[in-house]
Amino acid sequence: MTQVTFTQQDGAQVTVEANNGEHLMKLALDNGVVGITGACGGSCMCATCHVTIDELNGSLAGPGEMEAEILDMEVDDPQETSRLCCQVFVSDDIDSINVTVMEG
Amino acid sequence: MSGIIVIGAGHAGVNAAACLRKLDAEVSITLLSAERQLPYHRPPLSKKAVFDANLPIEMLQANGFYEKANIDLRLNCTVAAINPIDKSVTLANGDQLHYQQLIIATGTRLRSLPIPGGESAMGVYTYADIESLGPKLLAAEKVAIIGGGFIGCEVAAGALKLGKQVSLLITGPRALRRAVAPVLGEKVTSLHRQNGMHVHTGCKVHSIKADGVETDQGFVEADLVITGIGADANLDLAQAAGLETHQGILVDSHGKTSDEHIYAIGDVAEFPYGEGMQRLESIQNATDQSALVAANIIATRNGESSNAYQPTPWFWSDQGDLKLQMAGLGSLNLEHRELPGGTDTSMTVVHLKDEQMVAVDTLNTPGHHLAARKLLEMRKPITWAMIEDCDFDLKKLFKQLR
Repeated sequence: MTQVTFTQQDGAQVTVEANNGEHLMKLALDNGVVGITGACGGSCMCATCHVTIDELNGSLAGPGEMEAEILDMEVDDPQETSRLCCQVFVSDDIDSINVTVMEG
Repeated sequence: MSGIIVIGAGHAGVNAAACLRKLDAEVSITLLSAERQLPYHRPPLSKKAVFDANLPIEMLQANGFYEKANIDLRLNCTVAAINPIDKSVTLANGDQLHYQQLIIATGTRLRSLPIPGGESAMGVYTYADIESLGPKLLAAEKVAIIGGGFIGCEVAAGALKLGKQVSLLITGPRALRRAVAPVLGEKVTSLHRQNGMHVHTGCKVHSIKADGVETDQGFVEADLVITGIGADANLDLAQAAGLETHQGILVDSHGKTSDEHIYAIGDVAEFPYGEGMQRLESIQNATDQSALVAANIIATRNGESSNAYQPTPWFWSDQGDLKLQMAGLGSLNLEHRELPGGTDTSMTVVHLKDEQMVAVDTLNTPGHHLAARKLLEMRKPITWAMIEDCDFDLKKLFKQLR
């Protein structure tokens, strides 16, 4: 199990326990995190699940080509730690992860 | 006090309801779904879910969302009739609900195959479809898929990855004939063949038997037959209510039907686009059109002016390891030029009209796709000469023009 904490733009936090293989966008939608739309259903086609990774206890692979391109082209002000959370999968390698939900 | 009723809880209907609530905290919103599941994402059904023994379902909104947003979501709720004269809908159980504005988001239904045995072939459209198809697909050894459009190709490529013996039966000369530029359709066809798919082009299907498909090219053995031969708009309710329809429910550029209190959105709506009318089956269209119509309805209720729909269409299809992405509305009638720089498994093709870029199809080239989307959204003329001057790098061109 991995502990995932979402911080919304209004400052409210949602913390959930997640199973291996689940991606953060699904967790956000299932738990009513405000600001994550996931319009394309996790197909890495839009930028409506943008988060920044604030804290990571464990290891996580970086963005793939498609995700990197979307972050470069679709996100207005991408950060070093920007990710599309439909591409961030929970695994045994991660004890906990804290992310902030970004606009758009 | 009656408010707004949305018929259909697919991507467009749910997004319309959510956008309405964001814009107006008070208005009564009723969302009617004929399905029994909470509203879910449809694209993953044919791209991933049907190949997964767990049959994962991805919700459009969390379980508690509808209650929290005060949206009256009614599942298993079929609408029997729309009554424009007294502004009401009649449900299958006889109840009558009144509206001030009605949004029709009834989507499409799969075409059936009008051949002997056609009713035994399975399609992929709803979660209920994959609940019955998924286990059969996992158990099957030989799978035949009829139809070489996006859904047919997605299901065929996924089944191949599962190790099935896969036959893809296509009427036309290549896969994705109407969906992408010919040169890309040819490439996708040959890549699927290289991966071991039996692609039968120019193939006419005669009948479906228990052990396969009878075609004009001989008998194709299969213990499971799946169809992906397109979908037609669900027009019955609109037609019975006297609304103007063609391929879809006709709407003006603001999303309004021929009745001023009724709107149509998503796959079912046929709207003005370019010089003609267009119906689009896509997530982009469902998302953007529903948001616009929600805003227009609230504006109208507040006595404000509404806006016209000016989309930049985009589409995608995941077929095994192939990711196809289309920006703009291409056409077989346009000129197609491939950008240099493609590889064995990647390609970018520009659709041109009078030397101007109208649409861009890409295979495994996401940078070009996103740049093309951005370039088309600028609504400025992009000529082939401009693309050439940027060394055929669409990202570079976008960054120059931005």
